[in-house]
Amino acid sequence: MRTPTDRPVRFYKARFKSGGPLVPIKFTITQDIDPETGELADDEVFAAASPEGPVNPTWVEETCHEIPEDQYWALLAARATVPEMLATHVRLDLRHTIITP
Amino acid sequence: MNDFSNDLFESGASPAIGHNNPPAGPFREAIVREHTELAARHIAAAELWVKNGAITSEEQAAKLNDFRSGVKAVIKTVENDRKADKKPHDDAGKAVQEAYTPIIAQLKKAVDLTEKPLRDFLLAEQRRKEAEAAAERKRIAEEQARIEAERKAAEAEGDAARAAELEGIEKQAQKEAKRADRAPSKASVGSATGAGKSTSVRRIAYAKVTAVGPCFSYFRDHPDVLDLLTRLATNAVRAGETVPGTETHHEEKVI
Repeated sequence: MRTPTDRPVRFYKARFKSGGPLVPIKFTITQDIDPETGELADDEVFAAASPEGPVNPTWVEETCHEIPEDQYWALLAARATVPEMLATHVRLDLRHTIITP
Repeated sequence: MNDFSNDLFESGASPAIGHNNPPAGPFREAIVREHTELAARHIAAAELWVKNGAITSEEQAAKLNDFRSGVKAVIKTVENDRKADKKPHDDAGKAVQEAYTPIIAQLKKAVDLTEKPLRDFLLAEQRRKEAEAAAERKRIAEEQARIEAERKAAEAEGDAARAAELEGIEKQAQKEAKRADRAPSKASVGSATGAGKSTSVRRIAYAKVTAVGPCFSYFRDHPDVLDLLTRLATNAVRAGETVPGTETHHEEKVI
């Protein structure tokens, strides 16, 4: 009996560079579930995506911090107002990146 | 073609670019200018945050937290630059102190070493003057008593002229007594050459606390006592102690 993994949609925050900006990541598990038995009919497919593109889902699960969905959307909104956050592989220097309301 | 370059400069080499610049100021002006501009931008952003009003979401709180982290990081950078610019002056000041202080210490030692013989002499002089003054006061008192007795005897015998004469002498003696009653002049030493200052011994008082309770009661209303007690009590309260005679207040600070 193959039970589907809990919570097929999750959200994480990651840093691609030490001191770099937080990057929101959406983690998904594609599941083929038999409607009669409720069991998996095929292997689950794990995927993770950042606004930059796909990210290794194993790395995300093992190293990143899971966050609630509203925090994921808040991070996406912050990226829209703080352009320096788009440079995900550069240390974010708050001395020169002045955060305003 | 004549080449004058070797004639103009003794070394034969041209001086480096900037050799005619004015001497550097006490700090790096370009760095201070950069910091001033960055600080102005942070102040402008702080004013926007104040205008924004109360924080109503975690998202806004997190952004404000980031802004404050940035300001604190700038403060750290500016402090490091301040210390770096100040260091040569501190080092120079320290070098000056190191050059002069031992000299002054040696000279003060010379003054300290020679204090005892002069103090001993002055104290002996003071005692001698006090003894002389006491002896003089005694002599005058005895003289006054003798003159008074003679005057009374003359009055009793009806010798008015003699009595009046003695009264005059008595008044003189009273003036002398008043002069003698004044504290004997302090013993002092003048200058041998005229170039030095005169010196005398001064009696300076120091208190030694022998009973803390009465002494504390005497000073209890002094503001310094309250400051000291507040400081001691605050340290004790923060260490988890209960201090009698105090109330514990709390202040919420964002750290």
